[in-house]
Order: sequence, then C-alpha cells, then structure tokens
Amino acid sequence: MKNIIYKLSMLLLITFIGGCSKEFLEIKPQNNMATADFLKTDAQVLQAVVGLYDREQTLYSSAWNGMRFIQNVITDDSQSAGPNAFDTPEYDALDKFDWQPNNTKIRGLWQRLYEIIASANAIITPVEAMTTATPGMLQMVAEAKALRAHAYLELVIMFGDVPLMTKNPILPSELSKPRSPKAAIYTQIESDLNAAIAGLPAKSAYAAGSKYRFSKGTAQFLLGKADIYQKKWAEASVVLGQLISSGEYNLLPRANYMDNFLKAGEFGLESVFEASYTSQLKTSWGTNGADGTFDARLVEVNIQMQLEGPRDDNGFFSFADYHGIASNWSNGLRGGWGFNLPSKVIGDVLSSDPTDIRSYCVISDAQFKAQGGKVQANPVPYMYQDYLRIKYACKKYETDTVAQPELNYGSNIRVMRYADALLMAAEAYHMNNQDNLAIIELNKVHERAGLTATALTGDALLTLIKLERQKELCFEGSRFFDLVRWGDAPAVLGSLGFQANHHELFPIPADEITTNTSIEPKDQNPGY
Amino acid sequence: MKKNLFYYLHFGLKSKMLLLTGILWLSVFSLAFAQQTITVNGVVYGEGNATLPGATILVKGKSIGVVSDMDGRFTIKVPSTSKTLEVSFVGMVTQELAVTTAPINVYLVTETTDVSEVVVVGYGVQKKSLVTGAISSIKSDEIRTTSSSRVDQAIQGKTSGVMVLPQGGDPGSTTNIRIRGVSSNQSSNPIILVNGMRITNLNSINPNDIGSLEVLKDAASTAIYGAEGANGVIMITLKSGTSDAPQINYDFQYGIQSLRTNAKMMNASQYTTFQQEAGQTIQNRFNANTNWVDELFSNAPMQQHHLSFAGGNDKTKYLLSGGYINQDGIIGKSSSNYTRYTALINIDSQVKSWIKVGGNFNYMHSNQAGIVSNSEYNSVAGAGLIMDPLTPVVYNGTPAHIQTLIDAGNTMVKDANGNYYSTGENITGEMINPFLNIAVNHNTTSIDQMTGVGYVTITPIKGLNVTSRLGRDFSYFVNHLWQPKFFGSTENTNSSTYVRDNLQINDRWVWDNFASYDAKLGKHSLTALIGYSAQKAHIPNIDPNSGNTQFNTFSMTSGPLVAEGDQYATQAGSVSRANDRIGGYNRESTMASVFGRLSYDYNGRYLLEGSIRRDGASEFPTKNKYGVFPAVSAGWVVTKEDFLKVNAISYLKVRASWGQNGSRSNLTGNSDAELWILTARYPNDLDQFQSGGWIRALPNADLKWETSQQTDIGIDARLFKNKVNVTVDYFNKETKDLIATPAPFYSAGNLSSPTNIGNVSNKGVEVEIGYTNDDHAFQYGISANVSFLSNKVTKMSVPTPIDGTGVRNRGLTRFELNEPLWYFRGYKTDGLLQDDAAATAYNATYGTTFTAGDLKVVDANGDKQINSNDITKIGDPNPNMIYGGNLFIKYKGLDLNVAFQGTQGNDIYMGWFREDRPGSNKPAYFFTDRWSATNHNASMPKPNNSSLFLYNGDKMIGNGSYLRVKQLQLGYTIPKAITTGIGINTLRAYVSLDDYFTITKYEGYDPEVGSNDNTLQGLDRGRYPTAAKVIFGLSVNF
Repeated sequence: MKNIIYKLSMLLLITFIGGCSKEFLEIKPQNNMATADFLKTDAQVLQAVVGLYDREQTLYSSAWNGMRFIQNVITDDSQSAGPNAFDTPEYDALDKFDWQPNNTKIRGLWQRLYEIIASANAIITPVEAMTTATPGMLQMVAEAKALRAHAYLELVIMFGDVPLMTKNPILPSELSKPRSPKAAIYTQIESDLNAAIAGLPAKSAYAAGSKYRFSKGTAQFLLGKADIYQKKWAEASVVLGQLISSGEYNLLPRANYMDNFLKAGEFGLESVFEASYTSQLKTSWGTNGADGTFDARLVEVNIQMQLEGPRDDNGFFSFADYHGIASNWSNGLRGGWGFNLPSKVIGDVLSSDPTDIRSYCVISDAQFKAQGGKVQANPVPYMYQDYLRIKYACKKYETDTVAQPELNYGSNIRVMRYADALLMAAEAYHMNNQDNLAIIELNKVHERAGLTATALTGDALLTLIKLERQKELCFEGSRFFDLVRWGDAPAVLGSLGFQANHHELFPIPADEITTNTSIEPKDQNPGY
Repeated sequence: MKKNLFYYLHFGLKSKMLLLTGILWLSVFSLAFAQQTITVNGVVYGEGNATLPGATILVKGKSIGVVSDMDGRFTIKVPSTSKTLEVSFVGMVTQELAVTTAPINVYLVTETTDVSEVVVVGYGVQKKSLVTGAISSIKSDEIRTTSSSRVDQAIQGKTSGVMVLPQGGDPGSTTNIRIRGVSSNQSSNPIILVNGMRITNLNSINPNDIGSLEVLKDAASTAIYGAEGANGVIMITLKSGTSDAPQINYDFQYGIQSLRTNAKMMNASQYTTFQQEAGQTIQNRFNANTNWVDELFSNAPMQQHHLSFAGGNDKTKYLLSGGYINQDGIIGKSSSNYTRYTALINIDSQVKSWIKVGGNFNYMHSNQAGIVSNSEYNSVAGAGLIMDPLTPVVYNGTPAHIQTLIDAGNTMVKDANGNYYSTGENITGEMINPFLNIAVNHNTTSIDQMTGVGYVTITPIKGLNVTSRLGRDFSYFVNHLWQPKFFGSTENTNSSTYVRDNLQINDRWVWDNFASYDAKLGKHSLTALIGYSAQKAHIPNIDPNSGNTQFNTFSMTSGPLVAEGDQYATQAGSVSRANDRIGGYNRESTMASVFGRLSYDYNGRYLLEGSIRRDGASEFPTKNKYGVFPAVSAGWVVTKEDFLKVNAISYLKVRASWGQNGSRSNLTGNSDAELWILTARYPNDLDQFQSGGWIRALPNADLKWETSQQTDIGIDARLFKNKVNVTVDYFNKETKDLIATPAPFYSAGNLSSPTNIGNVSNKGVEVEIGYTNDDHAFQYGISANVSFLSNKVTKMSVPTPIDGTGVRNRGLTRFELNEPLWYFRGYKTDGLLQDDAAATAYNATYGTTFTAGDLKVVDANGDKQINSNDITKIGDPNPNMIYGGNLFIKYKGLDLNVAFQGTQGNDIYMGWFREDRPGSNKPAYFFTDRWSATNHNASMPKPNNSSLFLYNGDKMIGNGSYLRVKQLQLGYTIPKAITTGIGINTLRAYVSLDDYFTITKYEGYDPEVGSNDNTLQGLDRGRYPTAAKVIFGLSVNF
C-alpha cells in the first residue's frame, strides 16, 4: 500500500514536468501578423499599400493635427478661431507666429509624415529583397516609393534638413539618425519619383476601384513640385509638360468648379490625388475616434470639415434653416466647431470680382445675413472678420444626416489638383524665360475662373501667377510655402508676426530632439 | 502539455467535488440524537498554581459548556458519546482532556503565541514565530462588519505598507493597491491569491467569506511567486468549516450614504461678480442660483446580507455561504447602483490518513449601473463643480432658445415631471447638465465570475506531503451602453440612437504541483518544498474600449434603435444592419515555473530560509524567456537565548531578508517581431473599403523581465505578557529594468513598444504597534501602523523623460531621473504681483505684459522669459507617510470600535478646471481670497478664467493629506442567557459611521483620489467622492 501511495504521489509531481514542453511558452501573435509571415502574395502587399493610403488619409484628418489646417492657419487666409481665445492655444500660437518646438501640432505633422515613411519602408525593403517578387509587387514598390517621396517632400519644405530613414530600424542603435541636408533629401525624393514614374501606370490605366491610387501623373506632379522648390525650372517644365500632355487630366468647367471640393465631384477629371473619406460608417459619439479617445488612424471621416466649420452655439452663428442659405455653392451650411475662419484679406481678394468663380469660396457677412443667417453681435464671434468659408465647408450633403452629422463628413481632400500643376508649369516656364508657354497654362486656369485671357509677360506675369495661386489654391495648404519660396513672406506676413530667417521653417519638434540622440539642441532651425 | 490529460483531470475533479458537495449537504441534517450523560468534576489552576475562576469548559464538538466558579471548580454533564473536554481561558493555552469520571485537575499555562499562531505563506503555512519575512496578517474579525463591498477597502489602514486607492467612490468601483509604494508603470497592483488560485477581480470575493488575509511584502516572502511577486502578494484564505458544532451565521446591514465634503463653489452673486471682474460677458436669463453640488448629491440606501453554514467533524469540514449587496449611489441614486450576489462552497476532507482532498467554488454575479465619472470633459460628478450657478436644473415651460433648438431639429430631453433639462447658461463645450447626462447614458456592466480550486494532498510517509492543486478563474463581462437622441450642447449631442456592447471573457487556469517535507532531528527542524506550476490565461474580447489603442479596433455597435428603452436597446433592436459593427481581439499568455524553498531552524532560535523560482513566460522574447528569482532570509529569536530572560520581553525576533522578484507587467508578447495590424481600411474611388495594414510598433527584441530587488530588516517583539506587540521593518526596494512604453521615436515612424526603461527605488520604514488589555471585564486595545515612504527614479535607459497620459491634451505627469514617479508638472508661482510697481518691475525683467493681481510666475529655466519652457515640478502624488489604526473597547455586552486611516505629504492636482470654458464655475475661495485693488495680500490672483499660469500651475495643487475615520462602530451583544433561550448563540447589533469623518485641507470633493491610469495618480477630475455611511447592522450566530 505505502508503495502505491508513494508512486501515486511521485506520478502527480512528474506528470506535468514530463508533459510540458517548450512549445507551451511560445504563443504566436494573436491579432497581428509578423512581417516574416506577411507580404507573401500580391494581395498581402496590396493590403500593406492600402495601409499606406490610410496613413496618408490620417495626415489630413487626424482630429487635432490635420496637415492642411495647420498649413492654412499660418497664412494670411485663415484664422485660428474657435469659441474663444483659449480653446485651442496651440493653433492660436501657429496663427500668431508664436509657435515653439514643443507645439504638439507641429510634432503631429512630423510624426504622421514619418509614419508614412516607415509604412512605405516596411513594404519597399522586404519586397525589393525578395527574389520571387511578382511584377504586381514591383509596381506596388514603385507606388510605395512615390508615397514616401511625397512625405519627404512635405518634410523638407516644412522642416528643411530632416533625418533620412529609408529602412526601418530593427535594433535600438538604428533608431537615431542625424538631420540630412536638404539636397540629400531631394536626391532621395527624385530617385523615388523617377522609379515611380517608370513603374506606375497612368491614371486611366487603373480600373475603377483602383483610381484612388498614385499614378504616373501623381509622381510627375510631385517631381515637378520638388523641382520648383529647388528652383530647377527647366526640369520642372519638362516633367510638368509631360503631365499636361499626357491627356490624363483636365480642368472642370466653370459651372462645376466647386465640385472640386464636394463629395459629388470626387475623383474627377481635375483630381491628381485626393485623400479619400467616407460617411458610410455612420459613426456616433464613442465609436468615432474623432474625440481623440480612439486611434486616429481608424477614423474614416473627414473630421476636419467639422473642426473648421463655422460654430453654431447659442447665437454664435445661427443657421435658422439649414437649407435656407440658397447660394449655389453654400446650400445647406451646417454648424461646425469653428476652429478656422477666413481672414478679411482672402475674403476681399476673392470677392473683389464677382465674375470670378472663386469668389464662391467665401460668403461675406452681408450675403450671409441676406440669406437668413444670423451672427452674434455682442461679443462678435472670436476672430470673425466678416467672412465665412464655403470652399470645403461643412454642408448638409457632405455628411450623413441620419447618423451623427457632425461626425460623418465624407468629402475627400483634394491633395493634388490639375489646376495646381498648370500654375506650377506656368511659373516654371516663366522662370525658364518661356513666357509664351507660361501664359498658355496660366490662361487655362484664368479663363476657367471666368476671367479674360491675359497676355502679360515678365514681372507682371509673375505677379499674376502669384495672385492666381493665392485665389485658386486658397485654403489648400500651398500659400505659406509659396510665399516663403518667392521670398514674399516677410512683406506679406510680416504684419502678422512673420520674422525673416526664422519662420521660414518649422522647428524640429522638441520631443524629436530629446529622443533622437543624433540631433542636439544646437542643430535646431534658426531662431528656436 | 497534454491537453487531454489536463481536461480529464480538470473535469474529473469538478464532478467529484459535486458528489462530495451532495454528501456534505446530507451531513448538515445529521444532527445529534438523545444520549446518556457522564458527570465530570474538576478544578482549573492558572499561573503559579492559583485556582482560576472564569475558565470555560466545553464538550468538544458540542455546544455544551460551563464556567469555573470563584474557586476554579466546575461540574459538567457530558454525553457518553463524547470523549474530550476543552478547557480554555483568555491568554492561556487551551487544553484538551479525556472525559473521565474521576475528579480532574487542569493546569493551564500562559499562552506564548508562537505555539498556536500560523500565517499563510506561499504554498504552505508557517508558524508566525518562525517567519523570517515581512508579512502582515489580518483576521476575519477585523473585516466582518465592514460596509465595503471590496476586501481591499475593508483592509485599508489595517496594515502598514499597504495603500488602497479607490478609482472612484461610485458603488462597485475598483481600486488600486500599492504595497510598499509604486514600483512599476504598467500595473503596480499586487497579485491576489484566493486559496492558492490567482484571481483578477477582487470584487468577486465577499469580505465576509474571508478567514484570513496575509500581505506578503518583502522579497523573501514573495520570491516564491517569482515573476509575479514584484508588487507584493495578497493571500486570501477563505473561511472553512469547523469540526465543532455546525454553525449558522447571518450578517445584515442597512445603511444610508451621503456626501460629506469641503467642496464649496461660488454662488450666483459671487459668480457674477467674479466673471464681471474677469471681463467675461455672462448670460443670466433665468435668474437662477443653483448649488449644483447640493442638487447633484442625495442620500442613498445600501444593504447587505450574508448567510453562512459551517460544520463538519474531525475528518471533513464544510462551509456554504451566500451574500448579497445592493447599493445605490449618492449621485443619481439607482443610476449608479451596484448589486452583487456571491456564493461560496468550501470543503476539506481527510479521506484516509494518507490522503486529503478539498476544494472551493466561488461564484459572483454583479450588476453595475455606471455614470460618467473621472473625465475632465463629460463627468457627471465634475459637472457639479463647474456648472455655472446661473443655470437652473430644469426650465419651467419652454424658453425661447429651447424652442429654437427644437425647431432646428434637436431632441431636447425632459425630466420625469415633464420639464426640459437646462442647457448651460455660461458653460460651453462637452460639459452638459449632469442630470441630462445621467438620463441619457444607459450604461450597465454585468460580471459573472466563477473561481474553482480543487486539491489533493497525499502523505506517503510521515512529514512528506505531495499536493496537486488545480484552479480555474473564469469571468464573463458585458458592458452595455445605449443612448437616445439628445441635445446637451453643440459639442455633446446625439442625433441618432445607438447601442454598444463590449464583451470580455477572462479565463485562467493554474496548476500547481508541490511537495513539502518536514524533518526534525533533535533541535534541528527542516522544511523543504519543491514544486512545479503552469498557468495559462485566455482573454477573448469584443470591443475592449480600454483606451488601449493597440487593440481598440472596433465596437459592437448598432443603431438607430427601433424604439428607445431598455427592452429595445439590444443589438437586434436597431433599424439598420448597415450600422452593425463588431470586432475585438484574442489574447493568450502562459507561464511555467519551478520553485523550491528550504526552511531551517535550530530550536526555534536561529532561523534560516532560502527560496528560488524559475519562471518562463510567453510574453518575453525567446532569448529572455526565463527568469530566476532567488531569496534568502534569516532570523534570530533573541528571547530564546538565556541572556534575555527579561520579564518585560515575552518575545523578540530580529530578521533580515534579501530577494528578487519579477513582473510580467501587462505585456502582450511577441515584442521581438515586427507585427502588422490588419484592421486598417481605406475607402476607394467607389466608396468601397479596401483592407489595409500597418506596423503596430517598433519591435524590441531586447525586452526582459522587470526585476525588483528588495532588502528588509525587521524586528518583531511582544512585551509585557504579550500585551504589547511591535513590528518594525526597514525596506529598500529597487525595481530594475522597469517596463514602460517610452515616448515614440518620431522619426523612426512608429510608436515605441514596451521597453526596459530604468530603475525605481522605494525605501521606507514601517511600524506596527498594538496594545491589548483583554484579561479583565473591561477590555480595550489600541493598535496603529505607520509607513514612511520615499520613491524615486534612479536610472533612465532612454534619453527622454516619459510623459504620462495627457490631461486636456497636455502632459501633466512625468517619469524622470531623480524624481518621484509620475510627479506633477506645471507653472510654479511665487505669490502675486501685488501692485503696479511689482508688475512693472516684473515685466521689465521678463518682457511680459502682466498687471497687478496676476500671478508671479517663476522663471524656472532662468532664461528671462516666461513661456512653456518654464513648466517644472509642482507636486508629487506619492505620500511620504501612510498610517492607520484601530481602537476597541469592550465592556460586558457593549463594544466600541474606531478605525482610522490617512496619508500625509501627497499632492492632488485639481484637474477639473477648464480654462477653455471661461463660463465654468470655480471654488468659492477663488472669489473670497482673490486679489483686488483693495485686497493686496490675497492668495488667489484677480479673477481670471483662462490663464495657463493659473490653470496649469501650482495653484491647482491641493494638499492631499487626510485623516479619515473609516469606522466608528458601537455594538451590543445581547447576553447569552437571553439569546440561548431562543436558540441563538450570539446576537450582536451595532450602529456604525463609516467614512464619516475626514480631516483634510483639500477643497475638492474627496482627498481619496485614485485613477485607473497608473501614470495619473493623484489627479482629481471631479471624481465620484466616497460616500459617508450610517450603518445599522446585525450579526447572528446559531
């Protein structure tokens, strides 16, 4: 008996030891795939590429760091508004040229752009290393390179010298990279874009359902822009000329001009690339992520529309009847959160000539009230300068009215527009002493707006090109960097607080300097 | 592991337990029947052979007993079936005697506690006198009459070194427990073991079911739990049956809860003046003077019942119990109700001389109606602090602006009397009328939790015990939320109904196999333990909604609803299938361990112990999967030496220990792989979603265990015939390779993953002292404990300080070298600029445009500029001292108990202020203490609604020190003579004031501020305050 008991007890002890193997402690990733198991098929690489577009989408709409909004608010055409001066102090600091390296809005841009780069690297590095990569995969590598180049172009324009990451770090020692000179960044951009131009199909060659992707034309647009920012006028006019002569794009007719900024006209003829959003999720509070509680990358709506729309609370702006504002383009304005109001400067420029279709981009105080709108009189809404924005405004039909309307704007942001390409081409031709070619491209935009063709040359032509860019591309993020590269920023923005040799570039975010062991405080941009 | 074997064993055990339960139920009814009696006579003697009056003589296993008379004599009639008598007296060792007809003399000896008192240690029990680690013990009597639903709240202040921080005062709210300070970032909570089984939800245990609770504090005690012991271990031993007569216990409580607070906000006239002076245009259309704090809080009832049956014999013991608690909240009454049912079955049986089996099964069902709390944006409790007094609660009739909102298509909500809830007169933003908030947020959480443990112990030879113990902890959690349409403010409206559910299953099994061997050779005693343990946790989840972006992917959401109402607000009750979404994640983790311990003592005088554990855990990369955690300790019972035979010192032990522990933290595993999240999506040009993927975070192949190393030196003493008890401990705990997620490496394009970022040191001294005088009719005792703590980051392996979770989108807390963990940051101020001259001088130095009455902001970085670079340390949420104590007085049937508890030297950040909402109300002292042209010696600046120097500065720091009387209880036990007549053993009735008196300078609701976020301790966002309770209770024993 004793013996049996003894054996039994020993059995108890050793059952487990014997039965348990090392595998017990190895648990494979449960909700995620490791790179080693992923990117094996065209479909998987496509999934990674779609993820890259999703990052691109977040860049413009992340609830509190939308890139377009930040680029607009630092110009003379937008104000940081909101319910009062204290609601969004960091946007106010941007508006007043009081931004500091610890401004989290600037850090947000930096972070989102490098996320795009890392996501692109995550595709490019492993697929290029594969011996069995299919033609489809190689085309997607070209696509990833174009997206990476786009992110670097935005970085180099806004920050100057930046760390060049073309491979994702694996070891902690690879995390910190010093700032590379602008020239090196441009070299990488050009190399990526040339690969993309060679490897990507034309927009028309994409099947319906894939037309949202970067095409050869998108890469040409970006290369042209990169050349212009480097003042490589001849190269710019060549590549933009190729884009124009490709016949893949055209301007929308005057009557449909505002479709460029509405849901109705998405992926139209004039669109070179747009960040795509949707109302179809019908998100509600608590599930939308717009309030910052969820991962911003999961937000599929254009929450910026709501953020920037004129505010409608307790008599701030009153929309007595949502349908009542009967102007062609302003039909059905809704209340937003009011973070962005247009300036008097841009309002006056746009509405100076009512025949110019671009005057529809704003509505004046008088017009608004004539349409039945009400504006709080005492005190006047914060930063209200007698204009409301209609271009990209939060209109009833841009959102889902059954679900929570303020959270479901689905309008795409037109990131690259053919009109911009034409104006860039005009500028490049002019700077390359080809005014005859320049006015052809300029007049396409000019006449589409409803204005008579111009025959100006020389400096007068350049002045007109600049005015056309201001009007045509207002609220599209281009203005500030145009002024900087033209050298006009001190004159135009000086009264608003712009200081030469300082505000041309954003500061490297303070948090980057503290985490990145290869960038010291002394490496900061001038004046910070 | 062989899965099949496990399952057979698992379910096999379960079915056997069921069978046993049935048998034991039957035995409840097998009561004694009529018997013959024997008369026994005797005399009881005490110290120095003096006769001892008042000693109790009991027939063992029966409720028959007598008391010795003035001469120590007794006579007792004993049933012929009984063989044993028990003779006992307070302070003496109980003796058992054989029943005999001859007169007997009984000599009782004074009790030296070490003979009987044992404490529960990892995988066993130990005589208290031989323990070499730092362990605090709490017995069931100390928590039996608590009004807390949670054990940890019940033990608050009862032992040194343990801090209990409720996450909220709402009924059913969870707590954070900190043993010897905060030493980790991810989770600093200790592990909690119930009868050896690790549980995740302490709410599942009814405090009434607890027999004893041990807090293992030093590394020598916890190292046997290796990878999980770094934050301490709480070991709960459930009540078990008794070999005495079967017993029925019933406990009942009824209580009224109310708010007792220092918080006093401005009234309408103060508010109006303040706002005018601040230059704020305010609106006053309704001439209201609403005291939102008074309006919001109301008295709320609570009740508890607990019934238990215990019994058994020498071989088998059983206990069955059931408990019920129903508690309304002091905000929103039934809208923040907590209801809980608990049931426990606990059985042990010595089946044969060589085999003992047992097990327990605990079941809990709870239902909690939650209201929004602990949020600076939308908190109901917070609304009481910042709603402006000019806003009425409801309107009479329909004001014009409500009509306008209705005409614009908004849904305005009415109260039960048909009056519209008000919109804020002057408060804007997300913060809305709290009554509306309660009315539209239908949020309930139900939890079902089952914990079962079964064991078998075989004794093949004397002294050797081989145990196999298998436990499973299973919980099912459902959070259900639905909202009707409503308009609260422009930024807090809901224009389409929806319903959301979040389901989570938490399933863990642990299988421990261990053998212990006791040997005694002369004066040498040796106990050896070796064992092996494996565990696996499985957590499938649908919509975690935990704020953890890593997993926070989808929700199970539907809407709009067919109709509003509880019965319709289900996923099926929505109109559009297109809106339905579902998602979640699955999480698994495993751990396998071997462990051993060797305890040696020489004649109970010299004590030595060593233990070691090796853990392997799935969460770590292959190269760092295993961790080894050793500990050694030694003790010297000085009173056993001949040279220390002093009457005053009954017992004195000096002990020292050193050991290491680990922490798995809250890791999710596979940190060495670059992982893709495949839940991304992007709408294409046809508005169809394309499936996408991103990388989750940067990989970290170097991740290793967080190790905590602790040295402890302690003294245990009992003085003056055991009347005085003293325990003193010094500890030095260094947590190395602390795991946290560092700030992102932005240019690397991804979030960081958990990394070993640095070391944290916690040092302290703990003192427990008690005096008991219970050998007279008038009994009394007092005990107190105090812990001094200091907490500091001693090493950082990443270049940047780490910011805690943001508050209002700005960093508030920071983890930084040579600073306390997660200290507060903001603008430091040095009084006010009292007059124009001071302001002019200040502006000249710093280039500012301040005026008289503004705060004098300290130029912390010395650059002669005042800007956000001057944000610096303004406070520390970690207390320097925590303390607690207890006082009891007993006289005849009357008893009085006072328990108190407090903290000293901790700061609270008052985070409910909204500088972006200038119309929000402020505490009254903002008005009464403000600077004005006529009051230059003010403590508060001139009225200002928006200055970050004020609202993000040290004026927001409150003194978090407090002393709270946890319980003031007066009880009366009805004399036995009366109760036995009606078949009752003891009957005690009591009244109690729980959490009723608090001494604090803090001017928020409640100084007891916890947070569910480890990086935001001490942040008060208008947290639901702890209710004061008046309790009427009854304890009956049959």
